[in-house]
Amino acid sequence: MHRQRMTTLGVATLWLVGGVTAIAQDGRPATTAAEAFFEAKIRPVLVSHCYQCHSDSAKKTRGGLKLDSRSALLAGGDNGPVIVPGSAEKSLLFKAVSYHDKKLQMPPKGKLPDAVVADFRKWIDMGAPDPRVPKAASYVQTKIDLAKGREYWAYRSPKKPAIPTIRGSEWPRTDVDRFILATLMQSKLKPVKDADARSLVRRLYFVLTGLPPTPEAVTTWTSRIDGAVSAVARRDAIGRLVDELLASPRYGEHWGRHWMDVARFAESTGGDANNILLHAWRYRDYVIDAFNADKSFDRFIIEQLAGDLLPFSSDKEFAANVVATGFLACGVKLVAEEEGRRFFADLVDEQIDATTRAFLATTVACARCHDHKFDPIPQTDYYALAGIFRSTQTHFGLMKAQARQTTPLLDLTGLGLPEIGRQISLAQLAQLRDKRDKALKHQEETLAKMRAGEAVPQSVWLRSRTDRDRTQVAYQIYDDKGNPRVFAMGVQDQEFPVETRLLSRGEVDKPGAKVPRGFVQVITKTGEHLLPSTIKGSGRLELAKWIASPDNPLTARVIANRVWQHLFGRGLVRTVDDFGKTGEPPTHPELLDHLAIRLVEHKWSIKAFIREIVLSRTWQLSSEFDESNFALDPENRFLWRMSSRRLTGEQIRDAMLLVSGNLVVKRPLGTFLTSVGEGTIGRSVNEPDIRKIESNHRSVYLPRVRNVLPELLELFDAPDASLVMGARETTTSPLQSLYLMNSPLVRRQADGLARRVKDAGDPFGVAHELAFGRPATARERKFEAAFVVNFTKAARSETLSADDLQRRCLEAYCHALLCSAEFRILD
Amino acid sequence: MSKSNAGLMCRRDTLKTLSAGFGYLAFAGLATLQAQPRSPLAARAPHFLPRAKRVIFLCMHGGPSHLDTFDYKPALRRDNGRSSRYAGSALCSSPWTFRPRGQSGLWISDLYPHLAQHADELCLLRGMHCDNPSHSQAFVQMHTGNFQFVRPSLGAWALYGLGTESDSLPGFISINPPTGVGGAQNFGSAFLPAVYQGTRFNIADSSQRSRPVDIARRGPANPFGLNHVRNEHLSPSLQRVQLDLVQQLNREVLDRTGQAPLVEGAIESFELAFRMQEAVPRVMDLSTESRETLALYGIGSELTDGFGRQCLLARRFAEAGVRFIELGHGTWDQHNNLREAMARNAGNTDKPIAGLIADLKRRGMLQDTLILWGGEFGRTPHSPDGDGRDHNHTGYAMWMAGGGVKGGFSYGATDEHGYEAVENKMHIHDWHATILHLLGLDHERLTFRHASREMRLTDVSGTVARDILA
Repeated sequence: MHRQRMTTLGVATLWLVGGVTAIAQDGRPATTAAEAFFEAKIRPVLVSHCYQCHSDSAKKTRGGLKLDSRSALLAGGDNGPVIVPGSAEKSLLFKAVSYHDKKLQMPPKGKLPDAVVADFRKWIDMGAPDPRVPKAASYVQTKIDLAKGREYWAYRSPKKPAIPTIRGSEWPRTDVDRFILATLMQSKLKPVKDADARSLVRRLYFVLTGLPPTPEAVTTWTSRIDGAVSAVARRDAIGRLVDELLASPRYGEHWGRHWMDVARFAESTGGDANNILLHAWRYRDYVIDAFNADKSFDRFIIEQLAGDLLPFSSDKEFAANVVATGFLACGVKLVAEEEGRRFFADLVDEQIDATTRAFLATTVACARCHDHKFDPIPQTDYYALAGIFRSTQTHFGLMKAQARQTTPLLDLTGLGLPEIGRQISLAQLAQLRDKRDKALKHQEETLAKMRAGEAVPQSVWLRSRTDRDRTQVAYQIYDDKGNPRVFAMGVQDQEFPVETRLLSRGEVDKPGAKVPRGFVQVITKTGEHLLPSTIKGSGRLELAKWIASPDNPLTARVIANRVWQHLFGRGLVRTVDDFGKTGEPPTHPELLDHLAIRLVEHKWSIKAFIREIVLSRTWQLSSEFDESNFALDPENRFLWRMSSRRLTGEQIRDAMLLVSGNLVVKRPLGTFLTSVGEGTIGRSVNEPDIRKIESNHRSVYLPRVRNVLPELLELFDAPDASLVMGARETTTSPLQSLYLMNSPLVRRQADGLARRVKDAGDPFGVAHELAFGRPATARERKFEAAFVVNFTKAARSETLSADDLQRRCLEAYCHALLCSAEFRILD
Repeated sequence: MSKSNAGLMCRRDTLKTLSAGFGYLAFAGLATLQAQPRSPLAARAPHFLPRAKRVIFLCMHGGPSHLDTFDYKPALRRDNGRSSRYAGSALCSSPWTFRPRGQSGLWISDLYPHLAQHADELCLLRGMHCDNPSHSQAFVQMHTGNFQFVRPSLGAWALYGLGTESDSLPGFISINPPTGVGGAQNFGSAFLPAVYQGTRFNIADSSQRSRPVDIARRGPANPFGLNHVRNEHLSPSLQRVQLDLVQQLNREVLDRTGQAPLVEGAIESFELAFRMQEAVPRVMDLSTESRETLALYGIGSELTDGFGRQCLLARRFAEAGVRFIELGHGTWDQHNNLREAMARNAGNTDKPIAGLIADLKRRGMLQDTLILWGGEFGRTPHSPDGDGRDHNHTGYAMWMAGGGVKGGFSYGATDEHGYEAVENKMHIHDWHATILHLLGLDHERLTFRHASREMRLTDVSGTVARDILA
């Protein structure tokens, strides 16, 4: 059924340029006579008339096209394939040599004799026989010992470990605790005391939803937890809070953002010409929805890699599945690259890197140019995966005037996804069409003038192209009834699988032996790593299922470790994106296996998995310091306490907005970048226009433009989305402090907080409680009193009314609370 | 952590736990913190004795023509108008006269009358080449060594290797970098900890930055070059009262928890920020400079004011202990209008650069300041229309001065017309290796573990050009 659906799936062609084209392998074997014809009639012509610009030895390959090997000839150039074996009429090459089309005439110095042109027709019509074999770069037989490689811990299937029995201790509550305590005891460490209810409530709110609790929530839950009549009742009370938070839509926004770090999600291409991606937000919302719906993680994997290939029961499900493949489309792209083949190779490389690191914490992309230096991944494994992604079309859609490399977007209109914008009248639609036509005409006229030798300033020419594209976009975002169309980024299968050759040193000009499509051998049963030859399509769905299988030794471990990291601040394997030899080994290998198996037992439910861990005693430890433990384990690798951590930039901003009363929790529709429009940042899009976008929505909804991240997020270590980044840095810089002290955003929140509390009986005390989720201590009250005195004294030189003084003093106090370390540190 | 482990603690760990602490330990009075490593920004000893302590990179983006500036080609004059190796365009000799300059007799064109007076300080690199003729890719490669992946910038590597000597300014400053061509990547830290990333200063430039189109694209220049330097709301004394409260609250957390590197880092960073509020406006305020000095840099003349300000600021940052300073000027992309645009570009920068060299020299700073000049590539010897040149990455020129390089020296050469580097070729990797070497850093030992590899600025390449070392 889904195949049928695919054919009706319209593909918007407005940004179409063929950078990515499927090459169907012609099946016709060339006969000896045919090859002789090539040698006698065709090859000499190619050598003397074409190689100068279209060969390996050419100074600069024109149009990305090479004609000096069979594979290069079939691969075509920047404009796509140049020959359709069997049909000269359909072949660009023939069109060029026949000199019929004024825009495409080759060789440029003059038409070939008619007899030679006729030879070309004959040759292509007979199937373009071509005996030339590329000088296969000799592939050095891999020295990797896969059998030995399979013995590495991460490549063996998780084994259900025995739960450690702890005699004479009442401490453990869950199996997680038993593993942790066993290791602590071995290391002569003792767990510190449990966190108090207030800290626990704050921790649960921040970790599960990314937002602080309101003082009311703190009071309610603290009294429920502390008021519990038994240990069991206490645990039940905490469990109820966990359930409530996991059910909150705020959960998906927070944990979805975690995944977006891994998915290197952004709304611009980054790279050499940073272009806005106006439709990336659909993937963002898909991720948030998936977490909120607690989509099983194996299903989540398959949808992101191959949602377009899944069966479906409704249009809406189909559309959502396609949006999920935005995962493969949202990476960094070098859209200013001139050579289509290199762009495509880099695109595939980026997809391999993102896929293998995100789901398998394995750096397969290291094997692009040679066998992996550290892990048992031969170079052929890379090209086996490359074959799958090369057989896939990636749709990201950019304006042709702005990017040398563009592909169409996917059109999902009418399938039940939210629409952006309102319906317009037919008259308005006609206006847009007229504008488009005018701009197109102007651009064509400009081009004609230039062709005729008239001096046209470059700016006029560029403007005409941009106008053409902008008006085209403005028109084509509506269907013929004036309804807004729904576009998405994502992937589709090529019409035919693309043959893939190993590239010596990863260079597109140095093809070697053919590599059949398949998976990473060392984590596949011997002999089962190749795609069956019978499969139709790219093999992406098979790849997705192979990754999402409980038999894959890495997948469950990797996501279990990622979740653990977000709960504890660091993973059991600290290098969350690298489980290879150069990563770090797990601190608790058996616990990691236990968790991986539990996750699968929970049917890959992330919520159930989180619930199990946060209800452990280990997770509920306090963060208090202990000198003797610290002396033995200063990094808290063995979890004798909860590690304090700094909140993420998103949490800091969201918490400030919440505390000030300014936070808008409703999800905005679409992206705020709509106001900016499409184009290249620094050229047709102005950076200040992105920076000035203001919103009181949660940070996950702010524009995520590579190199132009919202200032606060950038300063507080939000990743720039250039690659998979499962673990953020925590840096401290003076620019952060300048921002906190002096930026309008923080001041607005301080003023908001002051306004919120000013009419309270004890405004300073209430503000403190709102900011920190706890009342001020006696000493803090003394600091506060001293502050008021000193502020009043220092303000004497400024002539302020008593009211103004009071207001400003309270504002400055609130501002200090937002600046203080406790506000952004979670115990 | 055992003692032996402590020694293995990598810089990344240091950063994560410590942040920008500047000896706050004594202040906190916590015995348990004795093992804390130093600030990741504290000045560090290089691998070996350095020839330069700091770098000023005069970055000319767009690809300045070597054939009209520093690479004299008599054969190009001889063959002017003949067909080039590219059909359809003819060889084009430089419209400017070259002359031997100084004691050394380096050939420099009349585009640089002021700079030419310092010929004996210059070390011309005339055999440069890189891997790509597109602006963005070549520009990113010039800064990071790699145009394919996001990699740390040269300045970030220098800061990572050496730390900084300023406690009130960032250690890596990039003034007016171009917004396109890779943007923030060019002063980014990529996988290096973010403290090593360059801080972008936006400096008003009367010759360029006041163009409405630039203001639209980048935003108006800030008189302090940085955002949020001034508190518009509280006087310094009121702000100090506020900051005292912040720090009291922070110290309470420290007292309560016993050990909290994050809090310590916050305390230090607020103090540095507070100092920057005062230091940044001071260093940006050129009114304390003498009229003679301002004139030396060409400040006050329309043609040279913009870049003159940048150059003078570079000296002031250098004096303040900043490790790596990059200045931006462009665009030098003269496909057409070569005569006029080259004259304007050179005119913008000639006097300011000469002023910078002279000023550093008289202050005794030239010997340990490495000055770099150049762009992402050069231009072709042929011209599409007789008044412009196309991109040429296979052979072009850059230069160095000061900090341990031979003065009045020319290294490397292109072919007779200037198409390709043919002698003592210097790839961008070699350029990077040489710069690090001058700073006392071995480019093969300056590594950072990322994506399972010990990453280097020079990847697996790079040869130090020992011939140019003084």
